Amino acid sequence: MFWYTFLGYFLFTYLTYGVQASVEGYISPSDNKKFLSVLIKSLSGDNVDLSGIYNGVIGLKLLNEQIGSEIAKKNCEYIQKSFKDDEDPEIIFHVFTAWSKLGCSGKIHKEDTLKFLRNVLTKEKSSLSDLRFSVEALKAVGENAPNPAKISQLLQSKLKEDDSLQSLGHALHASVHLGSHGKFALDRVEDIVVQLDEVNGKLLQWEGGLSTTSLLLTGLLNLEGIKPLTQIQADKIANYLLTRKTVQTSKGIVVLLEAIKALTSSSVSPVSIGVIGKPSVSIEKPELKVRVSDLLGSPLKPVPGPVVAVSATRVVDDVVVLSKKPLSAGSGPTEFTLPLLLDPDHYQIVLSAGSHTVNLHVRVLGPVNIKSFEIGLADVDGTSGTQLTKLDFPNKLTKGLQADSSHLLISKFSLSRSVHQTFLRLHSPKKEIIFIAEVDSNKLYKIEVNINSEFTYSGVFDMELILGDPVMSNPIKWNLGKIDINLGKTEPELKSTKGPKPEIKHLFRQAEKRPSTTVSLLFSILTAAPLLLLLILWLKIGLNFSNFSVISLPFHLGFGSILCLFLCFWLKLDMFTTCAWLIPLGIFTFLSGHKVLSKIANSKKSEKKD
Amino acid sequence: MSQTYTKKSSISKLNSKAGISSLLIFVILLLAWIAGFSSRLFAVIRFESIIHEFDPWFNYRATAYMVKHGFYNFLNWFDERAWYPLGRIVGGTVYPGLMITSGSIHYLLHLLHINVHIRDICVFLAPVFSGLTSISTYYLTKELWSKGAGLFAACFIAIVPGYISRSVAGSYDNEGIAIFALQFTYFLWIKSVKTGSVFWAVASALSYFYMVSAWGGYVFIINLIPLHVFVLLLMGRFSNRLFTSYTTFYILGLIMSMQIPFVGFQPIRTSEHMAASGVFALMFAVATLKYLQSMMSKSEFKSLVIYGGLIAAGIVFGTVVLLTYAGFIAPWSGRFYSLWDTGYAKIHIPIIASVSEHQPTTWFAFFFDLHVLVATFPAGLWYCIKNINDERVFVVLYALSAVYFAGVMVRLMLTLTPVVCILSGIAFSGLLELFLRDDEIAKPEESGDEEHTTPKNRKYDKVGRVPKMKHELNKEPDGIGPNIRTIISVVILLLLMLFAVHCTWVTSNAYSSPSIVLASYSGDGTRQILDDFREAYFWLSQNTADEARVMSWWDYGYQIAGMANRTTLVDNNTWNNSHIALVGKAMSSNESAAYTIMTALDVDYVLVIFGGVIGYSGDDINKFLWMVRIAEGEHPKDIKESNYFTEQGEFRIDGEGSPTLLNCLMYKLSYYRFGELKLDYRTPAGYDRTRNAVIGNKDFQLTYLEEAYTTEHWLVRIYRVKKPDEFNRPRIPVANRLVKSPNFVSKKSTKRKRGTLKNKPVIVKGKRLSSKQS
Amino acid sequence: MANIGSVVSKFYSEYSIKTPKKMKIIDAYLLYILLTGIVQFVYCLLVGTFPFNSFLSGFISTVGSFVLAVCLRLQVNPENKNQFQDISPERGYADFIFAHVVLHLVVMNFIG
Repeated sequence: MFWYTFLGYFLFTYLTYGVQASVEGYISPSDNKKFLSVLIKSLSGDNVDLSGIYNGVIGLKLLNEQIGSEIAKKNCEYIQKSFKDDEDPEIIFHVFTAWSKLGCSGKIHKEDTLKFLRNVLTKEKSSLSDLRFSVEALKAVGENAPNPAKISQLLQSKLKEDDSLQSLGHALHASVHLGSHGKFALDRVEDIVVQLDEVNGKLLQWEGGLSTTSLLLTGLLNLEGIKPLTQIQADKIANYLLTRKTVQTSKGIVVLLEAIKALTSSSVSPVSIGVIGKPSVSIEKPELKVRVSDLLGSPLKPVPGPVVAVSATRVVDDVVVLSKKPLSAGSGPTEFTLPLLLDPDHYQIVLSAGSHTVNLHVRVLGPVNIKSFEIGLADVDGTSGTQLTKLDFPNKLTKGLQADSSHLLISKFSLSRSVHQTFLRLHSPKKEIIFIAEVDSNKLYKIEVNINSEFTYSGVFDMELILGDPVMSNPIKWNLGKIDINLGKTEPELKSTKGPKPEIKHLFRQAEKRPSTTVSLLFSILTAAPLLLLLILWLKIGLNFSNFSVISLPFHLGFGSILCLFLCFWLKLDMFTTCAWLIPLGIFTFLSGHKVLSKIANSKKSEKKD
Repeated sequence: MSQTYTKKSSISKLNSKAGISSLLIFVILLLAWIAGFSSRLFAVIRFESIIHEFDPWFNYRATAYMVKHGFYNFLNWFDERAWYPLGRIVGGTVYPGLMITSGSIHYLLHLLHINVHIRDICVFLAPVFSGLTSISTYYLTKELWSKGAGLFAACFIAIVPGYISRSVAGSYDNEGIAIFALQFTYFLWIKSVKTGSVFWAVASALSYFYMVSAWGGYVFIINLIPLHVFVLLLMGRFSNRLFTSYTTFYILGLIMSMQIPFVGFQPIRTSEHMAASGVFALMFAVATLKYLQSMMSKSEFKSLVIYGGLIAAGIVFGTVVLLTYAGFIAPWSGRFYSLWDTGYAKIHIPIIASVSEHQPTTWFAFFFDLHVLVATFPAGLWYCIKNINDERVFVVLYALSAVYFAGVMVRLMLTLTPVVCILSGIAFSGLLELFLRDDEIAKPEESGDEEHTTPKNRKYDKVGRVPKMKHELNKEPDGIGPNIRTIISVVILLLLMLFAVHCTWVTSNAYSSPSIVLASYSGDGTRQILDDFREAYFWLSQNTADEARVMSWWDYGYQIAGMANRTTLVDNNTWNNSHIALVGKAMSSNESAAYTIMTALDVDYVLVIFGGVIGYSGDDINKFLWMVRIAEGEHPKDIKESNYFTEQGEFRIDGEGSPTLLNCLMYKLSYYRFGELKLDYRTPAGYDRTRNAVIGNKDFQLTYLEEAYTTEHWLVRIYRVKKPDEFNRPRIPVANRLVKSPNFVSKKSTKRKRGTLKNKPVIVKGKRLSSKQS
Repeated sequence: MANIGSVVSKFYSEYSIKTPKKMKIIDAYLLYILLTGIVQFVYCLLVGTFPFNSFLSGFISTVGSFVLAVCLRLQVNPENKNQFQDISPERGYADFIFAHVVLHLVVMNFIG
């Protein structure tokens, strides 16, 4: 059962692969440039550390870039300063490698460090990565690992405990340096390869992302005497790696480049075939430029064979328009050209370079001509004849159209060939309205706009004809002139529906008009005048003050103060304070008044008695 | 209790020693106060110290606002939480006397460092004031008749149900203090008429001012006193005393009453107040003529005075009519008309007619509220007419007008009650004066009677009995035989005892329910408290946004504002009829029409009262016809009352009810999901206990609202109004769509609601050989 | 006309003779208030009542004072002694003062 599925799986992948071709992308110069800036930063930036230096140095080497002596010197000094017999073999390896690659003068390694590394290689507790990096670190300073048999044993026993992909990768890397003792790794190859995950039938990767994939790939390809991957697998891994071109860290760049380099230099180096520039040609310049290279963009060393356009088919109807046409060499060693003298359309081209084939989608562009164009107005009810004006392409209407609600705006045109998008756009600074032309059986495009139903308000619009198509080399945007639509209604000012509502102001009742001051004053005097009369009359009658005495003084004072209080109340006080004042004043006045009046009453009584 | 009064009145009458008699009076009044106070506490004891009913909630809220923000801020208070979106100027549309009274009590108590919560003051204000009422009734009756009659009247008014109905603890309403102010004003007025003193007249005006600040019923005073004066004039009883007291009272009362913002310039602008000013002018005319008469010393001037007075009255009346016609004086308000024509309100102002307490009084209500007094007060009236003098003219007029008004409106029973107590006091006093002279016979029968009375009553007896024995021993018997005396005395005492029992029974059963907490009695007699109202209001206050607007019928406006503190559309201050009609229209329209009204009014929640589960009859469906009528008054095109009746003219909620009714908003909100509810095994599902019918429209869904909360006994149901983007838009079939989407069929179903990733990569996992090997 | 004139002159002479001096003082006061009130009323007729509360408080103040003064006159008048048995002229005057205090407290509140 298992074998059937296994077989089916392989059959399936093979079949799909037979049709679909190899790698299209590659590490382009622009990618290189991007990588370079990241790597330089890791060497000369502010946050330099030992691993960063290692990555920068290795990355630059992989890109075949020279390290400036200034930078090299600075980094050497930094390493010298910050390397302190670190306990981690990985860091030691990084430091040793960077030291030698930078070409620093003197020795970084001390005997103690080496002793420590050797010690690691004998310890049971050391992890696989420790073992690997210790071996590699020793290698980096030109020492061979002591007792490879022992190490090999250690590695194998460790693998028994933990055979994760990471561990396997480290073991592979370590085994390379163990000579004949590293042969055990070959048994593991098949196990590793079948653990590849396939995504969408196109990509192959090991679980754990780019770093794991790179670790295992480089490890596998370093092994001698074995061809671990088939060409198809290599191509799919290459596809995966190319999707990771977007890495941002120096470590990521290094592992990516290491993997690609390893793949390129292996016997299953994928061939990358792709179009240079845009995947389209025009009728005027029909040469399609094709690049055939390895993943790094360099020419293939063993040329796989002549580059041939196996076939070219039109996408619409699958008609083969071209077959078995060899490409002529172009300006560079990787460049080939294919003249495509075809009608404007979409084409599918199958290219092959030896056993590698690729499917390319190519457009051939051609110009479109406006054969005739007319625009004008007609009555809705068709009473008066339509008046259409003929126009040639770049010209505008000399006189704008005057339309009202009874009109149809009509435009008819024909083109040299049909296009995908045909619009009539009417626009004013604030609004636009777009109509789509419909094509009839005679390939005549026609637009009919009922002004009354499409427009609500009057306005002046610019008319514009827009033609567009994916295989059109001259997209057209043609200003036709103005149309003045008069519907009798102008558009009201649009108000924003959001934002604060207008504040409602409280409307106080308008104070009634007061009489003028003179009138008021006059009446005030008039009102006061009778007081004079009162005094006169009282004098005439003769007031009797005989009862006035000192005893009655408090009463009069109290009463007076109450009157004063009332005046204050009128002018400023409020009810509560007034009442609070009134109570003591009232009591005082009451008591004193009582005294006075009772005295008067008593005296009267006594008078009567007398 | 009843015998006590008897004894005391007779004692005080016979007692020659002023000291003992005044001590007795003091003790009796104090006991009356305590008895009145404690019989008003049923509600607090049975339920809790809580504000009752509807209006008191507003008064309480306003009082709390005044205590918090001060008096002047209160007068300027614009309440934007009521009458949304109009708002209400509370300070200018309220009688502030009640709030000021409890506010100043609160202030005083806090000055003395007695930290009482304002709610407790509000709850106990009315019982405390009932004591003051009985004291002022005592003084009033004393002025009119005698001290004994005064004591009778004081004791009657302390426990009479007609007054208790408005003054139980928790019933924090204007009437609670207004009756005190009314009685006190009348007492001071009588006093001032008797003495002709300016001082008493001023005091009477001050008391009148307090009455104006407390209750709209002040109009009764300002019409009754001029009527009294006018009748005295007609009877030729003009005196300088009368002139002094009336003119002083009128001019001071006039300017004081205008100090209340709600009253404003009404006293000189509206017809209701014009009688007083007319009599004022008349008094001056008469006084001038009298003076001229005295100066010119003409003999037959008296007749001239009367004619001149009548002519002057005619002129004044004519002027008033003219001014009214010209628009200077507002004609009588609709509420005033409804006093004269009981059918007026029903035709013209349904909102007034919809209130149960504005209905005409039934004979049953008279007996229920006044019991034996209703039979004895004509006797008192007859006594007064027989021995007429200036003051007694007043009480006669008071009695006649109050009887008439009480007949028109149940609510005005309140103004009748005091005068009935006074006159009954006079009647009993007169009777006992006649029959209880001989105490030798009366005594044993009384002590025998004592055993039937409650312990509370016995306490009263002890106070009265001792002095009585001393002083009545030497009385000479008069012409009536001792047996008749005994029998009549016993009958009277029994009557009074029955009265006391009746009062207690009525108070505890009819008037001591807070109506926001209901009590029901289950089969075994245990009491169940239904606290649904407060549950719902608390839910509103906790679960809705602070500015949420709640629509309900106006009855519940004050409670929502007071307890839930949410904005209401209409409330018990029914000042804007059209706004209420709009709410009524929303309730009586179908759901979609109601939704447009509710969106226009920004309604967030709708609250309905539904009594169908527990059989509560005061719910919204029973009030629904009034909503329809009020809505019809303003929107006759949209709402027609006849549509809500069946063809036979019945108001039915079952399957035979009219379709308009079965689909209106109020029906749906009341009965939503009710059709699923089976209350017990005997009745079918959806059986409405209040109306004893199975509802007619059972399975329906709400489109524009959703149920937000329903209380435990379904008494209050709250619905949330959905926002326009929320309700389920109807599905348009693909064929009718204007914009046709490509053949996209959503794979989502109710079961598969989890998201899916389009263009998900297919991953074929690698296999591990080693794991198999190992 | 002559008849009326004679009546008036008779009235005046009787008044001058019969009325005690105290009464005359009060009558002078009454005349003063009456004139003040008339002036206010004329003002209201001619100019308008705009701050209505101010006008009312002023006018009611005069009417009130007039009323109180008339009351005082009635109580003080010895001819009315039998009608006001409990009220001595002094008591009347005290009441008069008290009523004025109350009246004008309200007037001040109302005048704005």
